[in-house]
Formats: sequence, C-alpha cells, structure tokens
Amino acid sequence: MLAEIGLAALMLAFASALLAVGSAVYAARSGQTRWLVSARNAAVATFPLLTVSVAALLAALLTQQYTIRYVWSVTDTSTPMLYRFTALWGSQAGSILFWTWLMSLFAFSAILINWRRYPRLMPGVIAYTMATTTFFIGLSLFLENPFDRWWLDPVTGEIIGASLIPPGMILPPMQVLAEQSRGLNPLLRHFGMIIHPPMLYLGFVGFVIPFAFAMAAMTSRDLSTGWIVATRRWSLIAWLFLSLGLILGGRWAYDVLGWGGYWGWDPVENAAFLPWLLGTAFIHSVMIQEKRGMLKVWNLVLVISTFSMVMFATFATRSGLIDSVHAFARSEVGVPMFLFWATITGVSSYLILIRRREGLLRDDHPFTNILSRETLFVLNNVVFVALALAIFWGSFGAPITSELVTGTEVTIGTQYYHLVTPPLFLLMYLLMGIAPLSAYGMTSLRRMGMGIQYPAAATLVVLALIFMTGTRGLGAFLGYGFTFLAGFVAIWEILRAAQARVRSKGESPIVAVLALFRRNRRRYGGYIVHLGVTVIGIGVIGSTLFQDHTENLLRVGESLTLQDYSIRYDGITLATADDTRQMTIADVTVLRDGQEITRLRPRIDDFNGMAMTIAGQHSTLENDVYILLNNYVESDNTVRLWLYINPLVNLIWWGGLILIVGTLLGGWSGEESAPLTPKPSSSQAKQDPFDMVKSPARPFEGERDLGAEGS
Amino acid sequence: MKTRHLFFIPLTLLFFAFAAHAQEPRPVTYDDINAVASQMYCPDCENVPLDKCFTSVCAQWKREIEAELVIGASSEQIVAGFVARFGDQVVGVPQDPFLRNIALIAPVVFLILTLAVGGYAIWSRLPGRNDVAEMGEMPMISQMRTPHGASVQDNDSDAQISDGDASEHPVRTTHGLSPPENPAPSATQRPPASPSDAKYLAQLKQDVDRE
Amino acid sequence: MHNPDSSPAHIPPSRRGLTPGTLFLGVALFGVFAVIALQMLRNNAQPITRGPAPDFSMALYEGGEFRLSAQRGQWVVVNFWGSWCGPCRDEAPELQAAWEKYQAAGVVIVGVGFRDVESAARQFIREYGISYPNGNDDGLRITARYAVTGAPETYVIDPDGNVQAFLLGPLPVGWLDTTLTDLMAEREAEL
Repeated sequence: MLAEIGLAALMLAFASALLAVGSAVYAARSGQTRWLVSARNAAVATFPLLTVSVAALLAALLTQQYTIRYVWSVTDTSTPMLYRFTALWGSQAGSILFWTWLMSLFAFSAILINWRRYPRLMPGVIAYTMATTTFFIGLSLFLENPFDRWWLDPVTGEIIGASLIPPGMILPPMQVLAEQSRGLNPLLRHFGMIIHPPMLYLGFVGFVIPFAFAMAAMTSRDLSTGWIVATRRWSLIAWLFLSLGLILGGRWAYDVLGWGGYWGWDPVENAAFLPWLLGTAFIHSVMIQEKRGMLKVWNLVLVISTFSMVMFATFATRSGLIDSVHAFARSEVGVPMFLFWATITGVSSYLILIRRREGLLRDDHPFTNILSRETLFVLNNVVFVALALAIFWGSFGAPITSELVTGTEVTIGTQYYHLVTPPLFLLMYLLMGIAPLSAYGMTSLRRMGMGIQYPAAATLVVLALIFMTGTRGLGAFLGYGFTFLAGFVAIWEILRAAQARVRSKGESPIVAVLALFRRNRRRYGGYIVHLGVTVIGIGVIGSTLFQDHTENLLRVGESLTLQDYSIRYDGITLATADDTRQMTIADVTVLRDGQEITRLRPRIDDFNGMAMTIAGQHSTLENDVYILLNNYVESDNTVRLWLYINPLVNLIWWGGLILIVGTLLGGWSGEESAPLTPKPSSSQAKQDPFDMVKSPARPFEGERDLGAEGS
Repeated sequence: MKTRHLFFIPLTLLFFAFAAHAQEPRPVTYDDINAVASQMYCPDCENVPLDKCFTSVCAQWKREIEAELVIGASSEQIVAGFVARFGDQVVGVPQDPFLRNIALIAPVVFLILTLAVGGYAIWSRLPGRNDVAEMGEMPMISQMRTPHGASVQDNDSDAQISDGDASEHPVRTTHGLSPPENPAPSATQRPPASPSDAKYLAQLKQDVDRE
Repeated sequence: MHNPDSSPAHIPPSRRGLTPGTLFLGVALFGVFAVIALQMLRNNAQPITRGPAPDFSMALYEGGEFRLSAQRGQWVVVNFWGSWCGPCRDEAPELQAAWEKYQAAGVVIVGVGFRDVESAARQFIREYGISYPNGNDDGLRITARYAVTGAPETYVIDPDGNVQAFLLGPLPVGWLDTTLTDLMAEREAEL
C-alpha cells in the first residue's frame, strides 16, 4: 500500500514538474500570464506531492515494510527507531528522494515569496528550478527507485526486485525478508549522521534558488541587481547550512572515524568544500554589485560555478568517479548526472558570455584604487577561486588526468593540500582583516593604517604571548598573526562604532552595541561571522601544526607518556549493547604531571564483523586528550592504545557556533524592499513583462499584479 | 704491566659491547612504524593513511614495515619498496617524476598564473596616477535617497537605511555632498586627521550609507 | 559615465566572434568534461566473463615465471587472492583439492596475489599446504587488466585462451570440481 502511494505521488510530481517547465517556457515565449500562473501552480504542487512520497517511505521504514527493497537494505529487525528515521537518507535511493524533496521545498517557498516582486524573473526561476527537480525525480523514478519491491515467483521460488509487479509474481512473505534484512552501516549510527547529511543537502539544494534566479536574469536580460536582492537570504541560508554540514561532518569524523582528525582531504569531503568556497566568495562579491554596480560578471560566474560544483559534488559522490570512504555504492545514476552537470555548466557559461558580449554586464563604475573595497573584493574572489581550483585539481584533476594519461593510479594526499592551500588561506585571512577597513572608490593608506593600528598592536601582543609559551615556527606565527588580525579588526570595528555612539549619543555601551546590530545587521553580523571564522582558524592551526601522538602496547597497570600527560591502562570491560553490538571498552586513567585529571573509556564497537573505534576524549579549550583503543588481546589482557594531544581543537566547534550566531544575526533583516527594476523613463511604452525573448528587457511600470488570473 | 695498561681491559670490553649492539636488531616502536606508515595510504580503504587504518591488509603492511625497520632499512627505502610493488597510489604524493610534476608543480604554476592574470586585470583597469587628483575633487560619496525622495540628513538616518534601499539605486552619480553635521570647508575629500567622535560618527554614517 | 537606464541599442556591441578568452574557456570546459567522461567509461569496466583472457606474466614464489599464453592447450584456473582476505581462507582447501585431482589431467591452477606481501603470502601457502604455483601481482598490472576489484575472484580459461567461467567471491564447496568436469566434458563432446 505504502509503496503504491509513494510511487504514484512520485509519478505525479514528475509530471507536475515537467508541466511547470513547459508552461513557464511557453509563458515566456507567448507573454501570457495565464500560462505563467499555471506554471507556478504546477511548480508549487511538486512540494506536497513529494511530501506524500517521502512520508510514505518514512512510514514504510518506521513500520518495517521489508517487502520494499530500500527498507530491506537499510534497516533490520534490531534497528532502533531513531535510526529507522535517519535511514531515510542512509542509502542512495532514499537520499536522492530526500534531496529532491528539499529542493521542491525551497522552490515552493522561493516562488511563492517572490511571485509578486519579481514577475519578470518568474518564468526563468520556475523553469530552471523545475528542470532540476524534474531531473532528480527522474533519477528516482527510473534509476534508483526507493519504492522497488521484492517479488516472489511462486513457481521457481526466486525473489527479484522491481518497481511494478512482474507478471505472475506475488509478494514474498515478510518474515523471510525480515530475517535477511541488511541493516544500516554501523558508521552511520551516530548523532552526527542524523544531522550532517540533512544539513549538507539543505546547503547544496539551497543554492538552486540563486542559480535559478541568475539564469532567469540572464534569460530575461534583466541584469539589474534584482536577482541578487531576491536571493540574498536564500544564499545566506544555503551557506549557513553548508557551513554547518561541513563542521558537523568534521565533528562526526573526529568522534567516530578513529583517526584523531576532523578533515582528511578526502575527495568527497573536498567536493563538498568547493561549493562552500565559491558560495562564500559569492555572498561577499554581491555586496559590490548592490552598492556599486560592479563585478557583475564575477557574480554570475560565482553563483553558476557554486551550483555547478554542487552538482559535480553530488555526481562524484554517487557515481563512483572517485573512490572514497564517503562514496555511495556505484550505481547507474553516474552517466545521467554527468550529462546534467555538463549541460547546466555549458549552457550557463554560454549565457554569461553572450550577455557579456551584448554589453549587459558592464561595470557601472571604474576601478579606481588598489586599496578600494572593489579591488580588495576582486582579490578576495581570486583567492577563493584559486583555492577551489587547487583543491579540485588535487581531488579530481590530477588523479583522473594521471590515470588517463599514464595509466597509473595516484593518491593525492594531505601533503599536497598542506603545500598548496596555506598561502591562499593566509591571503584570505589577511583580506578578512583589511577589507572591512576599506571604502568604496578610494581608500587612503593613511585611513586604513588608522583603522588597523589597534588590531595590529593587539595581534603583536598576542604573538608575543604565544612566543612566550614556547611556540616556534614561521608558519605558525604567520598563521596566528593573520588570523588574530582578522578577528581583532572585527572586534575593533564593533567597539569603535559603539564607543562613538556612547560618546556622542550618550547611550550605554550595551545599548550602543545593540543599536549597531539593529541598524546594520549585515555589517555587524558579518563581523561576528568573521570572528567565528577566526576562532576556527586558530583551532585549525593549533590542531594541525602542533598535534602530537604516540602509540604503544600496554599491559594492565602500564602507562604511556606524552609531553606532561600520561595514560594508564586499568583494565578491560566487555559488554553487549541493546542493538546487539559487542563493545570492548578499555578503562584508562589520564594523569597530568602525576595528578589524575580524568578517566576515559575508549572502545571498539563490533556490529557483526563491522568494527568502529570510538575515542575517549577529554576536552578543554587548551587541547583534547584523545585516546583510541586499537587492539585488545584477550589472552594476556594487553591493549594497544593511541594517544593524541590535539591543541586548540575545541576552538573549531566553538568558532562554528559563533559563525552560526553571526549568520543568523546578519541575515535576520526586516522587510525585503520593493522590486528594484529602475523606474522607466516616461517615453518608453508599456511593454509586456514577458516579452523577454524577442526584445531586450524593458522596464515596466510598477508591479504587475499577477494574482489576477488571465492576461 | 703499568696501571694505565689496565685501561685496555674495560676499553676492550666496551668495544665488544658496541660490536654486539650493532648486530642486535634495533628496537622498533609503534611510533617508528607509524612514522613510515603515515607517508603511505591504505590500498583498499580509499584515502585513509596507512597508520590510521586497521584493516587486515593494513595490519599486514605495518608488520612488513616493522620487519624492514628492524633490519635497518630507512624510511625512504621502505616506502620506495612498497611503491615498486604496489604502484604510486600508496603514497600521498607520487614518486614517479612525471606524475609528481603533474601533481605538485602544475597547481603552483597555475596559482601563480591566476594571481598574475588577476593582478594584471585589476592593474590595467586602474586609472593612471594623474587621475588621482581628479578623483580627489569628485568624492565618491553619492546622494542617498530614500524611496520617498528625502535625502538622508538626520542622525537617525541609520534606522531608515535598510539593506534594501541601497539596491534601489545601484547607479551612483557623483555629486559632492558634505556630511551634515560637519560641513567640510574644502572641496577635496580628505579623511579627517584625527576624528573626534562626532566626525567619526559622521564618517561612519557615510560608510554605512554607502552599504 | 555609463548609464544602464539607456536601452541596449545605444550600447555598441563588443567585438563579434570568438575572443581568445572565450576560446580558452570553451576549450577548458570541454577538456574537463572529456576527461571526466573518459574516466567514467574506464570505471565502468566490467570483469571479463567471456572472451579472450588477457595475457600476463608473473614471477612465481618458487622461482621461474608463469605466462598465461604459454598455457595454451591446457585448462587454466586463475585465482586472485590475498593472505589478508578471509574468504580466501575458506576457499583455499577447495582449490588445493581441485589441484590434486585435476593436475594429472593437465589443468593448471595458478594463484595471483592481489595487494599482498610476500612473507604473509608464503605463510598462507604453508598453512594451507598449497602446492600449485603462486606469485604476486607486482605493480597491480594483472589485476588492472582483469578489472579485479577485490579478492577472491576466480577465472576458468579454456585451452584456446577464452574465459569460460568466472566467480566473484569464495568458491562454494564443489563448484570448481563440477565446473571443471562439465566444461571439460562439453569440450570433449564438441571436438
């Protein structure tokens, strides 16, 4: 029953999305609002339909319908309820459906919210969001159908899987299927897994809205800042979720993957990082277009490439293009996804070039000064793009090229990334420090010097303190220096403005700061985000450059020493958890300078042969004492323990929190303003807003009330 | 026999002690093995460094590394041996010179090119030096207008400036505008020498106006 | 100063035709697409379940060299294995039994080590009393040719050098015996 409902809803959603695309294109060509309204209705209908479909799959998971192949493959009779829920995105078919559902949610909201304000962009927005949605529903329907069921041939006793009933077959008995059900990969049974994929998907999928608006702007030739203002909050939301997804992924890796780190430069991790880099560049660069009408080509390139990278990332993960611990099992979605990615990248690049040639993307102002805000933002864009390209090259370019050209497989590992990315990250932090002090058009060096003097002084003080703790190394000081500078600039800008308010308006300091945030959320929210990024940076530098570790075999009572810490193996505990995993837990006492500071219990969880190493962690701001149990020999009760000291690693998680707060503060604006197509000069005739293909954009008077049906 | 000749006895004993020590296999710690293993990658579990991999293949490879360390092989020799047997994929940076170049030098070259191209693009668009004075007479502060046409003059203008307003008029024409509280006597736009708070606030408001 | 309110008709269009920048971008994009497409095609290589078996040569642990093409005229069973692989242990007795039974009939069984280390492989061979020839696939060339993705994998090759049977995973009890008997009988009947 559930499978039928889910499948039917999926088919209807497919038809609806396809209809939406067709109607939108026809509306654009014919200029009839009736078709546009129809397109809108079809587009927003996909969301409730997909909701039904997802709900059906979820219900099937929760009620253990093992006749449905997906349920059979990701759960078993002993799976706890929580992981039945998260199994929705636990494997390829379910996660594609989940992704598509989120996409329809975004499209639903974006289309309805912006329906009246940006009528000229609507045909394009509907067409492009629905084209993407159609593609993904198509993947679900034809290649990776979560509603495939097992069918039993009563004659031969053979069980096969298919979407629709093959002739002569019946449903197999549930009991048999239940016994053979596969269950969720144990690595996925962690809190991080509950949040990390949905966050990442929200981040990825969120960028379809700015993409669709950008494409709509190019198609309709309305290349004012309309599409940027419309999508500002969407970009920020998508960016926030992507940041969260990456940070949570790192935390999850740190907690359960058992190698003492949070980022492995794995190609699939990198593939998720690339859209973040380009997306960050985009949300900064659009400010310049909004205020000065410059960097138009940059912004289009950035938003298109962000979305292109999103598509590439999901393609690489799901197609087996690159081997990775993250990759889904190889499936047939690879070729269609590749074609989709290549098509949208090619078409959008072509559009940008055409519009540029038509002169629609000229800067409204020239560049004037090397220290002006515009110039620094261009440099910022270059740095982010260079980072993205370098990481792309290491993850995909070099391995694939080498395998094709020489036939040899290569692994591009951490050494490459630690060689290539630090200079660019340093530049990025430097820009984060000086760009807020710059002004549009012209910045005198003197003014910038005055803005930076106190933060710079504070940075030097901090560096001196760091030096006194015994830290050495040029790399560390450069890293800390630029990072702290960026953070201090952010703090100083807030304090300086608040101080000025206090003195001239007589407000109390707290009121002053609150007033600042209320009046210019974007700027001051942005400073908080920069602060968060700074804190993360400090954590990364500390835990990467100064990580220390050692491993040894210990008998009961023996200790392992590292720096001023020592850990003592006290004994082993064997236990079985509710979900049938066998736990081997080592009792370890941690001492510092001889004093006991805590007891930790690193363990190995065994799920029927699949083992997971869970570390014991003692977390402070200063560092993490991180212990792994690598091996337990029962015969002589010895263990092999691996001890890590990870300095400053917890700053990464705290920095992440600050980043979230800053983004929420910065994005929580008031009402969106009225549409900003420029007022027409009176000489121009009233023009149908959808006359977009035949002639270039003409401004139209006021808003057109598209609530009224009929043209 | 003179007393000093007795020194030969402990010296000889020491000599033998050293000789015996040199032939003993040197004790290898897990950290030594990990130091070599950290340069290599697990052949099966993609992109996991060998020292952090605990599958049976990896365990076997680490035992092999241990055996080679015990007989005194150097880290480079061990890694090179594995590469010869299993290919370049087991190290993080390929050893084969051609591949090494593709992997390492290409991006560096590319980065330099990008910065050069980017720098040139900006440089070529900047006006020449003599334009700077001209710019000084035409400050880039624009006349800010709210949707209702009133220009922003009062102190609480901040409150009226929402992010949306600025984008109403992406085009900025250049007019001279003196800051309301502090009409600058000179036409040239020079930043105040040491801003008082009122002046600073005005400057800040202008910045905020522009945002 | 450029005024975007003016209709585009007043703006002189840029140079027509391909600018160097456009050309470079087009070529670069096309290059990226082509490279990734080729890689996908490569990755989709299936194990060889029929047709000519790729030739290879391999140094044997007991000395000497094994070359597949030199075995023409005889049935060959090529087994890809590793001492680290659990299921390989399960099937080792099966392979050894087949070797003892069919060696006299001229069937050649050879084990190709996949990502293995010699010392552990030799230990495995000793442990299971394996007497058929074994060697290691140095440089992973042989396994690349056969698109081997894991161990164990077993190929049965007829005297003309064509793959007649293929099994991914450990040999079920009796499978090799039955398969060899059936295939050899079929061939006898055809000749």
